[in-house]
Amino acid sequence: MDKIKINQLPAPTWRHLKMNFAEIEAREYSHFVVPSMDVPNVAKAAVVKNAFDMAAGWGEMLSETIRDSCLQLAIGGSIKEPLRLDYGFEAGKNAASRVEIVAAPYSETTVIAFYETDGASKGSAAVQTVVKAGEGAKVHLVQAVKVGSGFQFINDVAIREDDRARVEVTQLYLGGHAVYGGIRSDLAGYKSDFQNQIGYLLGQDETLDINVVSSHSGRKSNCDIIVKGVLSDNAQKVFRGTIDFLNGASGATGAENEDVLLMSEKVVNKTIPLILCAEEDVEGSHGASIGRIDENSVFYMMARGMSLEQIYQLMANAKILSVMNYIDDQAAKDRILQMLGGEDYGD
Amino acid sequence: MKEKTWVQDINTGFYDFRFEEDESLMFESGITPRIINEIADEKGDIDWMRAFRLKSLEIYNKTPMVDWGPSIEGLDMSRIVTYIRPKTRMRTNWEDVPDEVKDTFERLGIPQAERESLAGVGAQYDSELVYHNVRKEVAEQGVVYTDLESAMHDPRYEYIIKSHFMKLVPPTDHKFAALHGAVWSGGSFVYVPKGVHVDIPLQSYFRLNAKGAGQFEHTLIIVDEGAYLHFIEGCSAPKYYEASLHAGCVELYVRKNATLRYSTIENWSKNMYNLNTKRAIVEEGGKIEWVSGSFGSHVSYLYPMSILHGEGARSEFTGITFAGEGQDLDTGTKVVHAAPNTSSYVNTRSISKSGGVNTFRSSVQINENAHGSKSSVSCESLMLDSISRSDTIPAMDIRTNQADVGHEAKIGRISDDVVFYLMSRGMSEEDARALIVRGFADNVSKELPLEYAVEMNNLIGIEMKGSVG
Repeated sequence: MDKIKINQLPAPTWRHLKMNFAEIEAREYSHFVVPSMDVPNVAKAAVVKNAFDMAAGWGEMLSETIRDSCLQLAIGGSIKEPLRLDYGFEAGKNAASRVEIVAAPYSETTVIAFYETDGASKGSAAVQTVVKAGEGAKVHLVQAVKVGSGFQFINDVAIREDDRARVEVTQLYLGGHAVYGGIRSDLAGYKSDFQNQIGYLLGQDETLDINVVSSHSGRKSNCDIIVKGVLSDNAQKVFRGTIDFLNGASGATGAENEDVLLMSEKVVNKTIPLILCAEEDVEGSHGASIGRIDENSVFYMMARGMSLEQIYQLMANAKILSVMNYIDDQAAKDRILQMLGGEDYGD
Repeated sequence: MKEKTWVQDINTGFYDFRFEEDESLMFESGITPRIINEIADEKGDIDWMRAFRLKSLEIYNKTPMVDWGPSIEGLDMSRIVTYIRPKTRMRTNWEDVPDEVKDTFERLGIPQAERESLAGVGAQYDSELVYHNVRKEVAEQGVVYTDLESAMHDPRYEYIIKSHFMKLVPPTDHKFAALHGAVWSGGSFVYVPKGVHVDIPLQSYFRLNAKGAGQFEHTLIIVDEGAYLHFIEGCSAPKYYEASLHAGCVELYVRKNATLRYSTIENWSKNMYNLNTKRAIVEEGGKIEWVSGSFGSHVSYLYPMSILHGEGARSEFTGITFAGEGQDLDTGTKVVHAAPNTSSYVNTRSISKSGGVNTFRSSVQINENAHGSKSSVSCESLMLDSISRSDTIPAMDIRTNQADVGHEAKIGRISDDVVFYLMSRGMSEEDARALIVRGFADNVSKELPLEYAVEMNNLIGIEMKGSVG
């Protein structure tokens, strides 16, 4: 079967590192899926024909294989209750879905989406969420993913922000045989703001491939990308994070940080945080901390009677819970806790 | 009238003098088996080396061009002269060197540096070493410092050369490593015996005078157990409108508990494509220290690599890059942790101005067996205007949980707040900005050999004029 490249780095590096892109089998994602929804009356939901006309985090090749149909959510005012989307995928099918959130100027909403399959289910899905945030609009998109051991899940979020818009994306990747996550945020508006928190928990032979691109063309635009994760068993993860300051984005700022806890000798962790800069008047930074828990912390907790195993479990839980804290909705938090194994998680 | 504060480009005019080349000494341009055989004939290659060159040419022809870095479309390999016959055989007495060549190196200050602060000097002019000398007291310690060709033809060293030459950087590594294997010429061989501490540095200086030519010197250094060496490499060329090529290769073997400090100041002219490959393998308890200043070249691909092969091996990389008008400098480093308890430390600074492009590119790989290893990478970039560009592309590949890896990068401009703070303490804005730029480079420049640090300050030519407009 032919392959296609997704999650490509905006500026490639040495080929032998195998970080420039992810490669997946080319499939026809023809099984259009509409999630079950819980949408407050003040928002309008409708399936419409609407071609994708933005840049995607997963890249052009996959965008071309998804049909033009999409579920459009039109947000007109300030909506206190979250819009809830729940996806189920039929076994053996190549499912596709596109949701377009159109946030009118100065509107405010939270959209919470769950992507779950049975533990043993097989198949694949490519889902895309488009966020078009008008002037001063605020959108918080929450996504939680846990798919089966034979399931390939490809997730993309494409964002365009006007002046003073603020889009926050909180993602939790809690398991899956082969999971790919792309985000592309175009901060075109003056003082537009992109906040991104990603938490992941991988074990067994699970793989996760993430590509986040924050493209700044708006003056005084800002992004903060925080990634926290835990790898155990034979898990493998690639994180590509790019802050791209385009010429004209004067006063723009951007920061990205990844914190990875490695809990097995057989894990593979690849991280490549890029800053691309064509503007003088910007401030960009990235940092990464990868490995084990620092000795001082271990010593402190052992002195209080904890075993090394307990310490590692506590720190792993803390990483995921700290990302969950960006979610205000208690029902969503409770469900994520269930996905993690129940109410005892984090105790 | 107010004048805008500005930072001058690196002034490479000092290096921009030339002598007419004798075209009868230049080989035909291009890379063909016939030209490779002619180079082998000219140099009296041993059979294995001739076969190695021809095999490398095959690999070169099969290997694709790089597709991930700065454009090298302006480099037409069919127009590059890969070998220029020397005007003289190699000399060990400076007075025997032909006047024109001697004048070149005297203008560059090499003989003076040899007298004042070096244990030995090698000087390469175009394709061949023209002068090599090492102080008597250093030679008496058993230190070997000679040109690579002489060593290869010397029965005492032939086996060492054969067993080390292009073993760290095989011709299959990339297209220009293969090219180097086919057409290499000149360069130095250094051997420091067990336990010998060479107190003052050795230096090789590479000068490419000819127009439209390439320089392909090979440097092979072995620092044996418990020994110490500081090796300095300098390079320059006059500016031509035609593209020139530097595709040298450096292979460094740092044995158990040995230390090698390798300092490079690169001032190639702005028509130069600098596609150089440098690699070190470090055994148990050994240490490699790279100090790298990149100021010249039109395009650079330069990433000194450290393979930490023995337990407790260490590497340090300190680099500064200044990209001005017409320059696209892609520099950085690679580290492979291939043994337990190894450590690496990377600290770089880059400055971009007048449309110059800087890319910091790195990779840190920690293998499954590298338990207890640590790595720290720090890179900072300063943008001095909005027509320039500065990118950072650091990669980390970690394959054990028993490791600690830290990375941080910053990019930005001169902070208005810091300027304001300094001005509130009585400094003029010009002085404040100059101080900030000097301070930005200071962490790295202080690692350079003193004479080069002074030269770097002159080169950067930080000139603040008038008041800020």
